[in-house]
Amino acid sequence: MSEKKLSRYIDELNAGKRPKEHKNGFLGEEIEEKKLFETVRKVRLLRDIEYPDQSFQRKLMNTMTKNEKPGKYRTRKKALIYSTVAVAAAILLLTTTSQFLPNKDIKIVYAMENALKEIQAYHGLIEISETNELGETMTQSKREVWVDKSGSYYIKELEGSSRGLITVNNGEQKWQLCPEEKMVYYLPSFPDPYRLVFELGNEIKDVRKALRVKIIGMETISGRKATKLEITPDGGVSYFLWVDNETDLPLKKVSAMNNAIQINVEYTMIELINEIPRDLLKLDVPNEYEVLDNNTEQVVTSFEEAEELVGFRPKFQTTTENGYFLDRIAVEKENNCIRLYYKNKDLGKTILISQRETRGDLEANSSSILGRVNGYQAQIINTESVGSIRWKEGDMEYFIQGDDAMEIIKSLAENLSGGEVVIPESEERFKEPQIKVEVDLSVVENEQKSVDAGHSPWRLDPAFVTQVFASLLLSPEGILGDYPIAYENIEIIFNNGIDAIAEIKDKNSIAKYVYLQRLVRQDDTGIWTVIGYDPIN
Amino acid sequence: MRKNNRQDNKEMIEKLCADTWRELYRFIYYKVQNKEEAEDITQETYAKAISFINKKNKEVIIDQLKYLKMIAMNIIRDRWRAKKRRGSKVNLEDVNPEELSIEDFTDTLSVKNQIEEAMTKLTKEQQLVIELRIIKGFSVAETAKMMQKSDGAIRVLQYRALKTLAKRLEEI
Repeated sequence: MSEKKLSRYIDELNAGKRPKEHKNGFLGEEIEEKKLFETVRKVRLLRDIEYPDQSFQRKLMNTMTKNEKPGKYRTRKKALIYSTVAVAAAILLLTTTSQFLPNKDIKIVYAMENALKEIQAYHGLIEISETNELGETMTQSKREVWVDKSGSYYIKELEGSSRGLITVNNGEQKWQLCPEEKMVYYLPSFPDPYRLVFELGNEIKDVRKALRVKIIGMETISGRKATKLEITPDGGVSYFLWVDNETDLPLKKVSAMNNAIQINVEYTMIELINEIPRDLLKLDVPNEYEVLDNNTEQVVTSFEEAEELVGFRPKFQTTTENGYFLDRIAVEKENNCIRLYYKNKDLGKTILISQRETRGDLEANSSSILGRVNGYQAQIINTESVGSIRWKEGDMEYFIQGDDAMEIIKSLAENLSGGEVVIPESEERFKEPQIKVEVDLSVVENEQKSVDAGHSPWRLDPAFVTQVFASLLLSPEGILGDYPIAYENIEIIFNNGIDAIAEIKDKNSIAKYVYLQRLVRQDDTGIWTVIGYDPIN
Repeated sequence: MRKNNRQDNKEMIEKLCADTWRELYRFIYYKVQNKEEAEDITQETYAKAISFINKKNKEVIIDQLKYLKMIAMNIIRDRWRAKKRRGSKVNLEDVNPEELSIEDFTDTLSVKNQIEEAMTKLTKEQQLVIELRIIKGFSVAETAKMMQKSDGAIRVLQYRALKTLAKRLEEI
């Protein structure tokens, strides 16, 4: 069954119309298709019923008592359907959604999302300050930001320790201009790990994902009337967010008190604009500045040119599905790597397909989910901002990264490899530990909060958590100096993003296999906890 | 006398419709999930039921609503199964009451709970796409904008989400 067919079925039901399949029977449809249609109808049980208009009963009685043939009685006016659908949709928006989001003020969340949709670009001044337990506030930094919907940005530090630093990504190039060192650093434009503090899109996304959103009251922020919200993230500590009553966009955020410090971030000025001024997204290296190019890529104009440089011809697609077009070809000669950049200009999203000739196994990455591409082992990472699939076929290594849905990356990997991409299901775990480790969930929750606040990032790495656990099994009184179990001797042999199993290849270890789970949050920000192990014998 | 009979019949039909149409419509709507078809089948159900009652002794129909639901079920099955066949032959023996109670989504609380439970086992993105597309009824384009994805990505995502959901529902 095609995705389009299923989508059309959903659209027809949404419009209150009888789908084609209901008219002509489900003949010719596969069992799986019928099942999907049935699932759509089942999910729609969560919606309110769309009743006929008030005249239905009267008309029904008239028709039946006059012994008219059924079928004639279909006198609904389109306008009436549309108005009923519209009213039903409006009611739905405010009622049925609450079944899934019982703790959220739906109206304000959707108002924010709708406001964001309208934004082409914005310019603002952000002030970041710290408040201590005594209530004393100190400004940490001030910055000027220009951001547009395609993901380009210009950030200038106005005050603080990095004063004068300018960071720009125009979608093709990224650079940092550092006046203190009189240096310009070129960096890869994609993937870009830089995250602007209090970026509106990310803030609204966080609100959407939150467990609870509660309106606390109204206040005036930087002269603007704003609604104060208390946001409780899933497995995290509550924080406060002020949303501009006029624009429905976030104005200020105050974190929870952590280590006696509370962080306040506020837009002291924000204006919505059509685009970032072009000269800000263009680099003019000032006199006396030195340029350091950390980006080892060399852009080439054809596949032939790329082949000449690296000695192999890449697999490629001139266009990919879903609005992606080949934007540029680059070569990284020292790594013998060809990189193909695909862009979806409407959505401002990028997919990068890297291919290189290399011997040996895939370099281990303990944080990745272990799956398969065309029968070959694959490393899959699905984070909030970027998803990726890496695999090797013979001497060729393929690496697809993108800031779009994992489904798109997966379908590209399938096209490129000519085989199936298998990502393990979340409930798959192939065996239970022989010895179970007791876990105090409240302790784990506190550890998660601590990691959220930037402490102990090693808890996000299942291999590191295994190393600490296995080392403590050997030295329960604590570890002095190096860990008795080396990190290199730990291999993650199973990881579906929620459960993981680590194998320890160290003759000193008491444990052979260590079983881990993301108990609090099941995404790349969730910490790993040991839930059991198998002893060496 | 004949006039009285006709009057009685008219009153009986009006009463039957007035007493049962909302519940019957709800039952049908739960099955077909669209207003156009639900109205149509409701009407056809009464037409067949009345014709049946007129032929037989109406006193044999003890539970009118159950009887109407059985006819409706049969019409739905017949329509969805048959291709371009006008009119459907209702054979009440085709639908047994036990089956009817299973198919009767008017008692939907447990079904809803099952769906909600199964939904929680999907990824956040999958939950969101189902919520926006099916529960809230946004178009592919609107959903794509909200989720900052392409239209194609939304179609692929909803397809995989529903496939997973169908599997989870089978397991419950």
